Amino acid sequence: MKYEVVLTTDRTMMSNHHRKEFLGFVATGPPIALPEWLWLYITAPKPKVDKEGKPLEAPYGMRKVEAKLIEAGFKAAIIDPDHLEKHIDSMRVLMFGHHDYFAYGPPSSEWWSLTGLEPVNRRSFKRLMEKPVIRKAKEKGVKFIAGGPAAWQWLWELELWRKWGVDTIVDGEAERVIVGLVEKALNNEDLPEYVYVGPSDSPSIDEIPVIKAPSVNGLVEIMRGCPRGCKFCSVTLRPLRFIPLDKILAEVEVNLRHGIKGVILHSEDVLLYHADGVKPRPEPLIKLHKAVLEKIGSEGDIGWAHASLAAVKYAEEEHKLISKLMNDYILNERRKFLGVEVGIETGSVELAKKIMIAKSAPYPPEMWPEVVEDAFRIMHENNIIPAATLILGLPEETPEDVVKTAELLDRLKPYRSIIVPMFFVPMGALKKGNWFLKDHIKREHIEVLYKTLKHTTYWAGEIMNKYYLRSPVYAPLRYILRYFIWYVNRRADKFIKSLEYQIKS
Amino acid sequence: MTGEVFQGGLNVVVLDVEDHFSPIEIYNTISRLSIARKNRRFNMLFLTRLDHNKFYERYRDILLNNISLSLSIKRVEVTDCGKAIEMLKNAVKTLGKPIVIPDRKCAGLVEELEKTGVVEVVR
Repeated sequence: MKYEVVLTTDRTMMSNHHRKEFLGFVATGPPIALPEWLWLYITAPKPKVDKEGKPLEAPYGMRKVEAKLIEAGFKAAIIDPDHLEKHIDSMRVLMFGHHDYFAYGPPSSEWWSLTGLEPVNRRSFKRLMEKPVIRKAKEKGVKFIAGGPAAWQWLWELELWRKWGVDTIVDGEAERVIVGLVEKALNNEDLPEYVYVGPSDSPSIDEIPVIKAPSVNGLVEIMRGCPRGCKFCSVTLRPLRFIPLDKILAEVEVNLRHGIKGVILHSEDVLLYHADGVKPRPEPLIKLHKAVLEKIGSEGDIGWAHASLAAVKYAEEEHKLISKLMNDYILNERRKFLGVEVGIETGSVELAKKIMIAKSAPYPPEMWPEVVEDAFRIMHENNIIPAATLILGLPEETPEDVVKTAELLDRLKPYRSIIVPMFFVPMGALKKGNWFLKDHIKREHIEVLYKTLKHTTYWAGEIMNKYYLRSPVYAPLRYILRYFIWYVNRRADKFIKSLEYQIKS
Repeated sequence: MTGEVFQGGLNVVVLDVEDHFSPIEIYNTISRLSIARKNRRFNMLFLTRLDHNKFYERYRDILLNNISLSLSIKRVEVTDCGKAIEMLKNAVKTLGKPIVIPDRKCAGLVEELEKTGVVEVVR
């Protein structure tokens, strides 16, 4: 088939990450201790493609845009970056999507700032845009449209935006604007340079299409938006919408039909699906899990994209809901755990009040450290493995706030988890090419960095061996990652000393 | 000409030729318009002397500041007010009656168009 609209992205996005979503995050770092090709093999192996170069699985956001365009009658398809040449003659619009085009998002910017080395995702995207096929497409007048969660990053890469000839950047939920933009591009009409889709143009449930082909690792969206209003997060501006169960199941079926047996339920807070404000309700969550698990059967994997720690605590303490979901529905002989991303962000009540006053709700912000610890305990006891984030270096942060975070980390030691510190990086600091961290880091930050590194490397071994990569097919990956963890641990003390030296000098 | 994206949105032409505007002035003006017209969508055409880099460096903070409006932005480089008015007259043919935000230097030249009811000027 000839496609006039082609969607693509670089290898770090166009991959199923060996069916282990978390490995995808490793592509946000620079290739430390390993050659880049091996780093890419570990984090982003090439996906299966059909004879047209369409990947079996593709990033979910791009699948949504593809579906919207197909429903509008366009000949549109997602094409693997290695197979674009096959469509150079028919292509008239080339669209790019990315989670982190230029590595300015977390945690890429943090790895970049810590090591001074350009992360792999940024290198990979730049390589894609410099490919002869992309240059050839531009020369023959193909219109370039870029979007996705990292669209804003183009505002910090103005030279590359111009050099690569990107016609339009779309920032925000695309469903309402993308058809009109592609129509204009195909009709050779004037295109705007930058489109910012505000909350009033967020699509309604009916305007959000069902994906037509599989998403990476079976990810399906169950809701959009978040009611918590954290200052550092843009999702909170968007209205809260719950995707109806029939649409969720229709997407699970799309994935199953193509052999993707697992499901990742995507939301900013899975436990708030049809919640009563910020209070999780058992009935819709049980109905959702029961229906999805019936579809995927006992062999399929399930994960949650994100959950809030307050919702974990409330759901368990008020309804015994976490243990019920895990023991009665999720865990079985094959499914030994459930992975989820959570946000700690800070251990300081004072800072929590300033930047995320509703994150602890329905509990008061004064209880935040207790909420975190209780939620970690509940997850540990129920075989939920969280990948948690911390934010360091916020403009309003005081040394006392960082000390509180370090103290909370001590209390989290007994709980199986990965904890990743993220630096609030002033934009532009990285672009100057300087290793800016020495100018911003304080002694308290070093303590937190050290504690998270020790915590994560301690638990990573058990998580890999007993849960995440326990199948014999992952033995080579396990071996490489064990070496990597050993290497990082070995270098950690030296690195921390060098940071201390940087502060002194 | 604006690359109009938001159907039913307000079509706004900004004459930023002499760099008299601060980005916050523009943002305040469209915020006021948004409230007055009960419309949160803007198709904006900037007629400006600023090149791609200088323009986005100037307006970047507003675009990154989690705003609640929908904005479609098209930038056309012009050398002076005369050229800007010429382009504005062309734009009017496809835009209907746009709202014009002129900088001080160009304001005089827009008056004639305002008197004939071709454009609506906001100062």
